[in-house]
Amino acid sequence: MRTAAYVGIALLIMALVGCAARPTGDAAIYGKSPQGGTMQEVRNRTGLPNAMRFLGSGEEVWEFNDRRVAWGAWRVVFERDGKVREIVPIRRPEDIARVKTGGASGSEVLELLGEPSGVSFVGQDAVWEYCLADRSRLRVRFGPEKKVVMSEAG
Amino acid sequence: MMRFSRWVILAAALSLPGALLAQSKPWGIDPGRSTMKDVRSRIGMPSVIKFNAAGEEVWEYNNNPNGFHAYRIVFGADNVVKSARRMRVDADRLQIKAGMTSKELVGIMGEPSLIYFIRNRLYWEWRLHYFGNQRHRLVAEFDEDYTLKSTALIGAQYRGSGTTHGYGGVTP
Repeated sequence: MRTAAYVGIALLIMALVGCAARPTGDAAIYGKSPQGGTMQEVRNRTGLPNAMRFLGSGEEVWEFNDRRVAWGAWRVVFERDGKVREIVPIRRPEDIARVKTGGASGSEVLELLGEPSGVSFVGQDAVWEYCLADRSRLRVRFGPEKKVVMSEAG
Repeated sequence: MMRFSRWVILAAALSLPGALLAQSKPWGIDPGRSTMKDVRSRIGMPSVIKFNAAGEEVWEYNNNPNGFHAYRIVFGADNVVKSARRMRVDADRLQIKAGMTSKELVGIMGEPSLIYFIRNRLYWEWRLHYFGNQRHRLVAEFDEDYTLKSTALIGAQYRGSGTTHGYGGVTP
């Protein structure tokens, strides 16, 4: 009888811990976000970025988008003094919707969705493929003018 | 002995055009003729896709973190290769000056192989060949304001760092 009570208590504790550790919000969809308030902390806690970009104003942007194993992707924008300005998920539904309207250039798609997981071709038209957080894939096709002419998820 | 030397000189002279051709046309990529599709099929996915100030698409094969070769291919508006060349060569390294920003450094050398902090100071490293094909690491130290303070070339085998044993990445 006492053993059953101990087992019950243990199960209750495990359930409570599990609920507390369960990610919520963006983290639930996009996986673990990069952590830290400075460039040094982000480097130490999250590792090297998959891609490094710069805003027009010169601020450094690190993109974490492990193409092979992760479906979510994050962008970390640093101030000029190395402090983190923002950590935001990319490839959000609103970003995808903007790409789907068509007409976006390659640099705009890079800004909205980050680095593609794969590049293939239909004729001479480039097709960028993205792994999305809902486990689907998005294919973005560029026309001869190098603007998005078609995008489809599936 | 004299005859042997002549053969060595002859062999070197014959191999020189091939070596130069490999440098000027990596993977046989021919600027003005080869297309983006050719590049994708011959080399594979680039490490980085970006757009330069002129709006041209740029594919970089940086072979980070272990490779000593890096290539940059620029495409024109028609998806035809405009230029294809090796990066992180001496000509690139010599452009680096103290006070440069991280954006300027990435523009010259491509993304670094390593980023780390020592005593709160930012350091970047690239792997490159120096003085022919001698494997080296170029270490860049940044100032407190995140501009370049100094650089140092260190032999890849210094302190047995083991960098020479790494996978070298894609090369033509």
